[in-house]
Amino acid sequence: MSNEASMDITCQELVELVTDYLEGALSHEDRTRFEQHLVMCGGCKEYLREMRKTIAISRKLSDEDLPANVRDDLLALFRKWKAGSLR
Amino acid sequence: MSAMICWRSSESGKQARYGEGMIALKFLARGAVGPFTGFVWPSPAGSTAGAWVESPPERFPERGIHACLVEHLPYWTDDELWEVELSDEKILRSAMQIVASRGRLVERVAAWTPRLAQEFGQACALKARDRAVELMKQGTRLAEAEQLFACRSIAELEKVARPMSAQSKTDSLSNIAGYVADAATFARISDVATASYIAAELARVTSGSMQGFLLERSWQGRWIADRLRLAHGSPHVSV
Amino acid sequence: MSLVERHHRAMVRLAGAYVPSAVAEEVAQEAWIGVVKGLHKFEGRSSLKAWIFRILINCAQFRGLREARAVPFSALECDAQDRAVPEERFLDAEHPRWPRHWAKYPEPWSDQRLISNETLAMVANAMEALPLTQREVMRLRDVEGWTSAEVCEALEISEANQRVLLHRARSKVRRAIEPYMSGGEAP
Repeated sequence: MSNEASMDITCQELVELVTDYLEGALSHEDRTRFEQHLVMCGGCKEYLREMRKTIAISRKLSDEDLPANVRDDLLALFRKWKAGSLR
Repeated sequence: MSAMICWRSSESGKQARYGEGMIALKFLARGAVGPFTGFVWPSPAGSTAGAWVESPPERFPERGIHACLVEHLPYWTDDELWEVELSDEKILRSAMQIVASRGRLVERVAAWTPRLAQEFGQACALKARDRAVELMKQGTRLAEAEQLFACRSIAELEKVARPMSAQSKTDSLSNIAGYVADAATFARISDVATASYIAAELARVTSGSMQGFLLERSWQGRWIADRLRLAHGSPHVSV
Repeated sequence: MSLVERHHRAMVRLAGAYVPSAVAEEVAQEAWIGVVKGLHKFEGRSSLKAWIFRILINCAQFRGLREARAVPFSALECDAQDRAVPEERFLDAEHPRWPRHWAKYPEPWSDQRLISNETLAMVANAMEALPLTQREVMRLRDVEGWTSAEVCEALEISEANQRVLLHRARSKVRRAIEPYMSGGEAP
C-alpha cells in the first residue's frame, strides 16, 4: 500500500526554519506550511514565542553611553576637521 | 475610496455590506490577536468596522492578509472567529487559505464559542474512533472494536485507546489506536486544532493518500459550517 | 554629536573582536579619524553606518595583524553544537506516528524572569560565548538594531550567510537561557 507523505513539516525542521520565518525569507508555500504546523503544535508555538522573547531581551543590551572624555576628544576632532586643520 | 474589482465566482464571497470587498472569515487568538505575529487587529466599534490593515504590496503574497473560505476553516481553528472584509484587486487562493493585501475586521462570529470549539474537537476524535472501529472489525480485532465503540466520553476513549496503542510498534491496528488516543488527548484539553489534524492524519495513513486527508478536512469543514449555519461554498450568510 | 554617540560603543565592541580590549578604544578612535577625514568622499552609495564600520574593520584588522592576534574571519564557522535544539528533545525517526516531533513540549517561560537583570546578564554571557562571526551578526542585528542589508554590507557577507549565522547565534542564546527561563535555578 503506497503511503503518500504528509505535507507537514516536523518540529525538528521547524526549529531550524524559525529565523527564515522571522526574516520573511520563506516562500509563500513554505510560510503557509510553517504557520499550519504552528496551528496544530503547541510546542512549536511556544518555541517561536521563546525565540521572539530571546530577541527582545537582546535588544535591551544596547548601550549608547559614551564616556565623557572620549566624547569630548571626538567632538574636538570634528571641530578641527570642520575648521580645516585636519588633512 | 475607489471601488475595487471583486473576485467573483460561484465560490467567491458575497458583496460586502460596505460595498467594497468580499467578506471572508478569519481565526484570531483571544483579544483579536494574530496567532503567529501577536499583531493586535483593530476591532470594530458598534456598527463601524475595524480600521483597514495593509501589508506591503511588494511583499505579496509572502506577507499578506490571510483569510478563510468556509472549506479552509478546519485548518486554522483558534479562539475567535471573525468576519473580515478583504479589499483588493486580486485575491490569491491556495489550498488552505486565501490571501489579500488589505483587510479589516467587520464582525465577530459569535456562534464560534469555546464550547462549540470543544465540541468540534470531540467530534473529530470520535470520527477517528469510528474509523478505527471499522478497520478493527475488518481486521477481526472485534473485542477492541467493541471497547472503542462503547466509549461514551472523550476521557474514556483516551483511557481505552491508549493501552491498545502500546501493544506493538509494528502492528498497524495498534498504531491506529494510537492516533485515536492522541486525538482524544488533545480533544480533552480543548486543543481542537491538533485534535482535528490528528484525525485527518489518521485518514491519510489509513487511505494511503493525501486524498484521505483532504476528505476528512472537508468533513470537518462541513461540520463547522453546519454548526455555524453557514451555507457551504460561501463565506457567510447572516444568521 | 549623536552620530558619534550612537556608534562609538558598538565600534569599541566590534574592534574588540580583532584586537585586545585594551587597544579596542584606540582602534575605534582611529576609525573615527578615518571617518572624519573621509566623510567628504562618502558617496552615499552604501549606508553611512555600514561605511563607518567598514573603516573600523579595516583599522582593526590592520592593527590586529600588528598586535599578532589575527582572528580568522570565516563566515561559516561550524562547531559541534550546530543544531538549534538537541536531537534528544524530539521523538526519533522511527516513531510510528510523530517522527521528529517534540518528545515533550518546551515549558512556557516565566514573564517575571523575562524582565530580570539575571536574564539580561545570562543573554550577555551567552553572546560572549558565541563564535566570533555569530556574535557579530547577532550583536549588530538584535542588539544594535541594524537591518540585514546593513550587516551584509558592513561584514561583506551574503544575505544567506548572514541568516545562517544569525540563526545559529539566536538558537544558542535561547538554549542557554531556556533552563532558567522555564523555572530552573540561576547558575
